[in-house]
Amino acid sequence: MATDREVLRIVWDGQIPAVIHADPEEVDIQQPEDFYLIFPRLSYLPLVSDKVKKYFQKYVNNQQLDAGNIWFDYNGTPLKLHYPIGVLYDLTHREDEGLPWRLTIHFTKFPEDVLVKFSTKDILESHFLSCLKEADVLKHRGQIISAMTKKDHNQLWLGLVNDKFDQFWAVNRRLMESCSSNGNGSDECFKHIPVRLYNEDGTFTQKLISPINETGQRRTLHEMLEEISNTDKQAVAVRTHGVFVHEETPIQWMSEHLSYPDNFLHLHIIYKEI
Amino acid sequence: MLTMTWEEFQKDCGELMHLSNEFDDGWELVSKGSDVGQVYLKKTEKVRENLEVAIDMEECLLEEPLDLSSEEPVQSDELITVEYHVVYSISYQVPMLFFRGYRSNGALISLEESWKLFNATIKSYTRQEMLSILTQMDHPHLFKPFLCLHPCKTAEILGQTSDSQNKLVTFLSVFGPYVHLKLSAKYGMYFNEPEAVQNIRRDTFSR
Repeated sequence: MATDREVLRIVWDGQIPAVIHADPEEVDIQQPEDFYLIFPRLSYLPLVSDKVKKYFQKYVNNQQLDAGNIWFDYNGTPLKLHYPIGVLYDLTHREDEGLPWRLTIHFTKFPEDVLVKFSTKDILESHFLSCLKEADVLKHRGQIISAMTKKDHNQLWLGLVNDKFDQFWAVNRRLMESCSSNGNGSDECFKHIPVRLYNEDGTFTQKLISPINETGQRRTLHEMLEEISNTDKQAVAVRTHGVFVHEETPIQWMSEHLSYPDNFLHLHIIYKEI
Repeated sequence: MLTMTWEEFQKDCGELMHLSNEFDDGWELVSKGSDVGQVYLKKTEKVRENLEVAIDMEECLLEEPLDLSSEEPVQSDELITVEYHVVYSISYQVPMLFFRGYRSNGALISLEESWKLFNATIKSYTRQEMLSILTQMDHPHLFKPFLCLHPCKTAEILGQTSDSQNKLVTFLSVFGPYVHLKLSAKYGMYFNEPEAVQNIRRDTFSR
């Protein structure tokens, strides 16, 4: 359906206005002007920070500089380099702070105990690929990704890196096809939904969640929320790509249309204490 | 292909802990909650390895020739403290091996150093191959960076040992030695570990 394809495009085009500030302790003499830019929500910080790095690098004390391992913080919280930018923003940004999203760049003292290091882009690429593999194991027992060629894997990665929607989706649509072997065959769905359920503190849990409920119908977001609630806390709402998702949405549809390029749904769950 | 349910993983952990208490070899069971996947095994070991890259070795040699007649371990071998975590992967439904190494000066071992540790046990792999075998990832319960052996081939390899009585012990005997984690042979004897494991170990990561 044309409307559904439009959703993919809207999700792909999601952006966040940001401003980057230098760490005053790292700057030699003169504090540089802030750097304004637009982040694509679906990308990763190491993929979009080349220009920022180049700009600030010349102001930083050379002896301390570790240009291969720059990192960012928001209000003192180091930002995970392997989380999609949209996920980082939705998890950390406080509405009362307004826009642009204000981050600080660091060239020294990499917090090794907190952040996974991505000194070169091929490490991030391998991380991205391992997410795709894991997602396909959940959806199709890994059969689609392993039948793909190295060229297909490259095309997915380069589509994301170069912000080429058509290039990416020409391959990704194969990963989004449903298998008919599931259930009674009347409704084609994934085996499980690749999903990360984020808590307020930025940690997440994974669960095996089937897109079909006990009565053979498509499981809705509302039903999934009931399933992940427990006696202490009730899951009441879900936000992803900066918007709240309607409770009657089938999670199979969400997986096909609202997943990040790594093929996972990254859902920020709002809980209510009971 | 051979996967494990969460219940099987817990059962195997329980059996391993029972034996570990008897052998007194330091395995611990850590529980982070009651949900699926929230229990894992942990062990700390001292490992002797030379992590310096080859080029540094050459420089050393020029300045200060090593005494080859000595039986002592060469000076560049250092004692590394490695913390191993065996975690259940919900997606792959197999055990996963996470670890963190601290050098004698307290620094965490880097990705490239971990590859050196890995390659010390077998033939060398290219950078691209290593990136699909061993990389840093967030620990699924601690959310801190750990080194991790990728699980994508685990089910296939465990499938070759289908008569194992404790799949977790089989998993550790096959994958542990790549990262210097040695499970005492007593575990294998207790569970009548099939001899096949010995052969599999040799070509686990072969291309």
